[in-house]
Amino acid sequence: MKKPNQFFWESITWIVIIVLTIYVILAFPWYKAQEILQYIMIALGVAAVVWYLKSRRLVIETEKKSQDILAKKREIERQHKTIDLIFNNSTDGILIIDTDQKIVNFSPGMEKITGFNKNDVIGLPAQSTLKFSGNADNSLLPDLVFMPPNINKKPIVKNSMVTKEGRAISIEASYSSIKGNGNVNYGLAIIRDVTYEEELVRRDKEFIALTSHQLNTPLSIVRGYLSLLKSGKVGPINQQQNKYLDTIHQSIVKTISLTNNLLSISRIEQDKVKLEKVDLNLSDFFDKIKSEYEAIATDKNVILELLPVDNNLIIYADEDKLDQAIGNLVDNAIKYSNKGKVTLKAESNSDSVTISVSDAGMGIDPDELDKIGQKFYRSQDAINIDNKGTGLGVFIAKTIVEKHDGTISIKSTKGKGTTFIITLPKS
Amino acid sequence: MKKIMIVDDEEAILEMYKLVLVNNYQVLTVANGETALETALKEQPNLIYLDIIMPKLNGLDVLKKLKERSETADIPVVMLTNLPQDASADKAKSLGAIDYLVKVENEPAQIAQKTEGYIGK
Repeated sequence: MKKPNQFFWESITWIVIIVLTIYVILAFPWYKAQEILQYIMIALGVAAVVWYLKSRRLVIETEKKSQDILAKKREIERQHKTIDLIFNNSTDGILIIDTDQKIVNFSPGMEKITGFNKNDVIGLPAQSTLKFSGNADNSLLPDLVFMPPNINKKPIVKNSMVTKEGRAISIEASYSSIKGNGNVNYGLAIIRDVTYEEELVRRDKEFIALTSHQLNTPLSIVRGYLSLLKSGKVGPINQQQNKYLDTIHQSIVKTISLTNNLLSISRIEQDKVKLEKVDLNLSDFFDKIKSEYEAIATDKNVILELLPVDNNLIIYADEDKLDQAIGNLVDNAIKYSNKGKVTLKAESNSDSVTISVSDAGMGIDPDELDKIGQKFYRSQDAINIDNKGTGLGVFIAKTIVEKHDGTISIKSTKGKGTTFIITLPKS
Repeated sequence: MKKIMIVDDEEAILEMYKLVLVNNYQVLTVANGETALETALKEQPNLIYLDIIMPKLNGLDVLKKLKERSETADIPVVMLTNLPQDASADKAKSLGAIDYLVKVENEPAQIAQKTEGYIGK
């Protein structure tokens, strides 16, 4: 029911409207009605055109938007299909875990690698189910997945896990965390079973080690009896026989050296080499290197020069292994120099020592520089000068230096010479 | 004359070292680890050259047993093998070997010279 006050104001409003309407009708200039009507028609026409154009644009925009949405939908569907294809057909296993490290997805590849069925493991804790072994820094794969990225975080880890049958397998895993709305929601690990490949590598290395060792027995017999023949202990030797025995002796010594190099590499690669580090006085060490290689240098008219080393310069290193590493470099420097100098230099830095071996030999072609130090690689110039080398000397040197947490680099100018630079930590 | 026992499963090796030692020493050659233990006990050599990789009982086991028995514990033992130094030298020395020589790096004359260093003539 209307209130009396409201009724009063509504009545007043109607009276005002009626009075104004009567006034407009009486005051309206009816003789101009046609003209005014024309204006109104024009205005209505313009309004209709504007409205049509506006609505047309709206229709086009709407159509375009719906096409875009459709294209995006198709793209998302295509991506989903691709992801599904990868997820379901990859021979590498794909494991997705949530932030509680529970398994949320488990690809058919994972089922094949581990023997577990997807439905049996969803929701289970990843670590206790798959028993990943610790990494080098003892981090487990499910932890690594959620670790914030840093420079020490390796993109691929090698370790092992345990299958449903309880068999330990070697794996290579790449991992990352998946972010949604700025937060980490899931962890992803792509896992490859490398047990077979590792077994092949192990057998290969064992074969080399065994072969090298087995070769040493007959070689030591040949070398020993040869020296007995040469000594005349078992009868006189004439000059020509002696010359032939010398030739055989040289070949045997080279074969022994090759066998020992192969054995060294095999042991290094199997990680069986233990460093026995001691405080090593570099000045004394250089004197020792000089005494070992001076005769070979003199034979080739090469001067083996030691630049003065601070008497107090000491590094913590395995003397025999470092002797082998630097010795290989000095031996090469002499071998590939015809005359001139081979210079051994040591410089002390704040927490490291730089040792360099420089020669004035033939230098290394810039194209070959990055290949020097690869196992068995020999530059064409090196083969031309000495076709009996093995391409193992620099590789062994590099491996030994790296075992000492050091680095090795090469500077070379073709026709002018080469410098090998070794940097080793002082402690 | 001092007695030296050489233990190696390769006859050619035994013969080779015997040839350079026989003028100055009584040389006993033994082809396996088990016989080595018996011979050492019975003959009480002044020095033993001992190979490592041998059938039945390997050289490191022989060394351990020699050092465990009071009758043979004081006989100096030198490992003479083709296994590289860093493979077994530490273990051999911790078991009581006085030296570790790699056969391929030591010609018979060097062995004769080293023998003199260990026990004299």
